[in-house]
Amino acid sequence: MVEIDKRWLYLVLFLAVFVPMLRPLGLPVDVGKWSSDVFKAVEALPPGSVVLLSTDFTPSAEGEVGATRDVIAKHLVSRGLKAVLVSFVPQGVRQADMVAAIYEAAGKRSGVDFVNLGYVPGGETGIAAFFADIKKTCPSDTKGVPVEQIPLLQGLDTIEGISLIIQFHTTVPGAHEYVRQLVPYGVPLAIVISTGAMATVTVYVQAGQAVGILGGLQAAAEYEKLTGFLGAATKAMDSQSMGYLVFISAIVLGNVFYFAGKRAASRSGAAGGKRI
Amino acid sequence: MRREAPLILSSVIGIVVILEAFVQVPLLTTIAKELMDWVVILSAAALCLASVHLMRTHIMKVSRRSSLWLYSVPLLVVFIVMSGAGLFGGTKAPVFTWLFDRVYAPVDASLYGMYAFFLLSACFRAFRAKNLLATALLVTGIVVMLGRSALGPMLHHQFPTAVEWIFDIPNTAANRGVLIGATLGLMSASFRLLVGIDRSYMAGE
Amino acid sequence: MSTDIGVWVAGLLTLATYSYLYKENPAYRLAEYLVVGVGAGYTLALGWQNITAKAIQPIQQGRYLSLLPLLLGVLLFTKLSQKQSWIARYPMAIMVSLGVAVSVRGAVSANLTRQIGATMLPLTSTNNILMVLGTATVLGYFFFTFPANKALTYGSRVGQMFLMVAFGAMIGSVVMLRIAILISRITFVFGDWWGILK
Repeated sequence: MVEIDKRWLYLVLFLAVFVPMLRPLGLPVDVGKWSSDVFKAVEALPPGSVVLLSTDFTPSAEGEVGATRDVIAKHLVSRGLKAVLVSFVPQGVRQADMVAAIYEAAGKRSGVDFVNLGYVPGGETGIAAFFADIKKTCPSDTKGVPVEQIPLLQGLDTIEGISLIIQFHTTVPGAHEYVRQLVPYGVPLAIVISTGAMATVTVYVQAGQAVGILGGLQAAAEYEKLTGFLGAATKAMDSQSMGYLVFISAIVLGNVFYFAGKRAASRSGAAGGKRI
Repeated sequence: MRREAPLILSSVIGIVVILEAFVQVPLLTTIAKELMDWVVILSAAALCLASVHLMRTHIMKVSRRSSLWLYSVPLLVVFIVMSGAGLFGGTKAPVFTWLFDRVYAPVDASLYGMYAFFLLSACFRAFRAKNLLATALLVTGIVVMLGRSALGPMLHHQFPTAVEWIFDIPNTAANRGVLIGATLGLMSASFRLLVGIDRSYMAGE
Repeated sequence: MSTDIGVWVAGLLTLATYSYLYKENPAYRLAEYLVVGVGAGYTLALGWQNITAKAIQPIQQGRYLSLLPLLLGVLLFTKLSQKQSWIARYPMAIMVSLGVAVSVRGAVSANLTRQIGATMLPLTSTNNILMVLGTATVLGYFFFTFPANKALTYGSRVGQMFLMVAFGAMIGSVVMLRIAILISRITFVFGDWWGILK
């Protein structure tokens, strides 16, 4: 086995990710089926429809789904769709603030075009309570305006008034809890998820319980390409590809050295010599 | 009664809420909805309790000069500033949002991002194709990485399709089996909890 | 280079955190402790804001039923006392039992009937056959309640292969996740802070 100080490996990874940032390679981004499905679901909504954005992610996942959050917000604004923002994760409130900032930058009005209902504690129970009675669970928005005075929420008593839910899943509660609690309501769900957990939610798409998945930075770049709002995700694709190359090389080389070492050891053992 | 009363309460509430999903009785729905709202408030109280408990632990560390107590001092200082700003100025207070955006968010993200390096080390030193199953695992991982980047299509135009197939068919089948099995386990664990066999949530039992 | 003090603080803390890669040191530990302190202050403020909005204000507006969960929330704090901590069992019992009940009632339909229904596919294509075979054999792999016969043993080996493919997909995905987060931190340090990247 070849012994390499792991800090050299760290340096290789850093350079593989950093150098393409200085000298972009311009590698192409191909749009996949899942990103297309979510894009089509949003495009199919008539202007004025209300979308629920559940920003249930922490700053640790910003690098993965932050770009998706921004491009989705811009897409919703461009389509004239209204947004109800909520989070069932404490740190997700700041993420909802960032979506609200995109709406405000486009001249949209809080309470009319979007509303930020803040954090709802309780995990899955909080989700159930929110779906059953939005106004009772969130008596006011993050600016302290009572929900009775918010025009966007007039007539919106339960989750059934929402046309599409876009849920950002990187922690608990997440997509699994949403799918369980959406059973009585039948509102379409699109899942934005960190790639690490993507494999666990494909079951819902196949069973028709979710309209599509946007998994990680790659999906964000695909969505940016579909919408035309090119941003951070597209810029990161070159670095991402080079990073994967380093990991693939590490797996392959690690196995090559391992099996070569084993073969050398068994040969020297068969010859009766010392182990190297 | 100190042990039995909470167990009886837990069972009654659990049965009422489960029944409400399957039996359309307005009284049950009203009770279930009200209880869910109660849990939202209780969870908020639990958040406060967790923070208070954590701070009590660090105050005791400082007062007893325990191991690494010096680090608890800046911890307590930022806690007081952060909670004071949030409690008196609201969660939109400039100090509150500044500390979250400039202290919490970057460190949280950096801690998470460090794992890339540890994972690389693991890939080089530990991921071994020692048998057919391990080889299948590693080959799938490599194919997924290639297919979800620009490298795969450069090698073969079917790479992205292959990756979508891996996620859609074998991965979905396996995860579905796991999900169904886990759900059966969840139901049996829930039954044990609701009938009082599992009392782990009553600390000190 | 940025002149915003906030960016400098964030950048220095980022470097302090990554200094752990060289070796553990006081700067890394300080960053760790600071994030714990800020996080605890954040959750305390957010928890209190929710108690105010969802309990205290409704009580002030005449909804006196909210006094009960507020009282139960106060009882939760008896957990801090060894002698009185038994009182906290009541609010804990409500929270735990409700959480479990809410999960179970949704899981029966979402995770069982819908998922089993989605597996009932006509065996007319390779994909459908693989889907049914994979789901059944993976379920068979997790059967530990009775001794496995030959069919179950061979079936569970097939299930293992499906599981390895799923784990391989997961490992590839986890690598992608970590690289994406690393990219965002490098972009911040060299872009937003040092101004090297455009």
